[in-house]
Amino acid sequence: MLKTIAAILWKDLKIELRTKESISAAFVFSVLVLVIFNFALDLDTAQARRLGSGFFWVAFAFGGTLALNRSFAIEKESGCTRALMLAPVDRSGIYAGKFLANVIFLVLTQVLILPLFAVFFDVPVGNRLGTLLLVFVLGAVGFSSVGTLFSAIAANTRMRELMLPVLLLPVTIPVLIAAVETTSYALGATEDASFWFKLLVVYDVVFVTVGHMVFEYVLEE
Amino acid sequence: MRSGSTVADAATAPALSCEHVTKRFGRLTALRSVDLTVRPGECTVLFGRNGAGKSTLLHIVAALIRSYEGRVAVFGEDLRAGGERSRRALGLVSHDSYLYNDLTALDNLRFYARLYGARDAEARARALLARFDLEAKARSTVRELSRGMKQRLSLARAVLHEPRLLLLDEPFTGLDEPACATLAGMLGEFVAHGGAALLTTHDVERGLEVAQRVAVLERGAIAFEAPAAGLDAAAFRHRYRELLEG
Amino acid sequence: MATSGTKTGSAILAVIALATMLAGLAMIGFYAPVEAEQGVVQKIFYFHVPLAWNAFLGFTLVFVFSFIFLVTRSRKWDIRAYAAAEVGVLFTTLVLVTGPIWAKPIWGIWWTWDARLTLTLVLWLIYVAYLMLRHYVDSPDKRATLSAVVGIVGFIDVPLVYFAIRWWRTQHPQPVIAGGEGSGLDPRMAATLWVCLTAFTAFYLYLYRRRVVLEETRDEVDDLHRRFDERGHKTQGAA
Repeated sequence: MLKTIAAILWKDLKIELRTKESISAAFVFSVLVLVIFNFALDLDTAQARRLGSGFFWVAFAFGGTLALNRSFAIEKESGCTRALMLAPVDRSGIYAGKFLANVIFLVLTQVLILPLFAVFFDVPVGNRLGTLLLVFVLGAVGFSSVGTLFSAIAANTRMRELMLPVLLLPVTIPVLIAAVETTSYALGATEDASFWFKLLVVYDVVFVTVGHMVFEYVLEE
Repeated sequence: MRSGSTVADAATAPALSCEHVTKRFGRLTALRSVDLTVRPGECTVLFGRNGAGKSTLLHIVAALIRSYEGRVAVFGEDLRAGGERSRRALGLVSHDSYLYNDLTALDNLRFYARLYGARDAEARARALLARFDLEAKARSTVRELSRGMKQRLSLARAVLHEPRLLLLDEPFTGLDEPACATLAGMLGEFVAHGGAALLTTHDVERGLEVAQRVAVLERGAIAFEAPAAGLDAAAFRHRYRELLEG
Repeated sequence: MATSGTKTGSAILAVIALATMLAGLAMIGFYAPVEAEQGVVQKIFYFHVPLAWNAFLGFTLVFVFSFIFLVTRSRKWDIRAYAAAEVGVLFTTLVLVTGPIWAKPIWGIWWTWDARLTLTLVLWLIYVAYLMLRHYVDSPDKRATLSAVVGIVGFIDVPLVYFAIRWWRTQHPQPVIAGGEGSGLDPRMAATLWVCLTAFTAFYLYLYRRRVVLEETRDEVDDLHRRFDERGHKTQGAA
């Protein structure tokens, strides 16, 4: 099982290393969303600081969806999904490998957006940087747990670029709310976010487990 | 090894044994109690109209579809009960290349070698590149390969793990003459070395060229089955054409 | 085929639904007292709450039928999950419509991201995603399996959404639209509510059954078409 996960993870990382398509798409789109927010809302500095974490995660939600979409689009391209299904491996290993790759891509995207975000919204990000990175990881895990599953589902549909966000965004609302609240805490805007950290962890555990269990039904002809 | 099986049993077990395979969903019946056997050293070609159920049957045999009635056994091992292991003997070839366009030829083979649990993935990958005359292109991405090379690489991928039963899903689709010849040649070699193959196609000429056994699937059931040797090719073509039109 | 058993079942549900609905309307009009603060408008409550109850019941059914489908792979359960979702989304839409109709006269605003209404909106979005998925998958087999997975994942998500929204709202409070009915209901109001609850549940089940029969009939028609086409082929080939 571990070998399967390693093989899949290695492959996805190698493809991304060569093409950089997932991360660049997610990054560029996220930055666009942040910029458009700026024009649409024209906030002063005080407001921007207060609402900043919300903007960050909205931008991430949309950008991240693009990266997740690619996860199974590359498999569908040359029919590789079938080759994966045929291989003598546990199919939840395929889920785990792709899930981990997606978490890595999403966290990298967040880390790339962060400096731009700090500059655009004039927010001090250094105070609880460790906590902020923890939030990034917990959020990415939550997003990726359902996102990997739904990416595989959407890849089977006629309008996959539409279906993935339509499926994913409502279901990841708890992650998004919790991520915004914990980011506000990490940026020093609030003093207690313990409930939200707990919610993130619960969500992550629940959906990584559920994703693991139902994935084999998604990978069928 | 299953207890109670003798060496003789293992030697004579057919490569593929489909027993009363039925695939239904609601009122749609794709396959009706299909019985089919493929023996080692034989290539069975399954003809049939589009929609006759050829793909469905092949997908079931390739373990891509798991809900169906009946039994499919690969070298004596039930496909559903056997789990991952029973899929080890299977190889799949189709008009899809099953290659990752942004990986190099070598990386593609390395990936599949690791996926199939080869102990030395690197060496196995390189050996296959050599065998299919692709060493020069080891570090080229699949996008950069010509069509012919892509096909050779795809075949290399299919036999990388030394499958004993090869499944070919409309493999001649979109191939030109030389490419078909390459495929037919590889298939012939595979079968001559004791491999078994099940090939679906609606191309009568190419199918007859590579067949040791011939079968026709019509509306989900086997309408005809016979060895290829001694088959009156002209009569078969005629009958098959009628079937297609009719 | 709609057996006589099914027809009887539907008929019984129709009668119960009609009877309780009429009784409920009568009670709303003449029996239940007019609420002190909100006046007559408050009576939307007797529609809004039963609709919401059935919206969530519907999604529970989608979950149960999806689960059974993945175990049995029988089209029968796929039909039932789909029917439960279609009727469910209808009821959910009505909740989202009656909420603002209630809010506007009383609070002067249509919507405030009140916890319950927001949860219902999210439920609506998940229902819609489920139905859209079914629309965009071509193979019937895959359609059933993939939507079953979404039905299950969506249902597991709902409690998490509930807790997230509830805590979020306690931290950032806003006016509550669908009033605290937990705050001591007059027994006459409670009685009216129960009757309406029964009425709407019966109505939901009635619509659900009709939808199941419709889908089964559609399957039958498709099957007849296919067999007719095949027979056509057969007679041509025999020549």
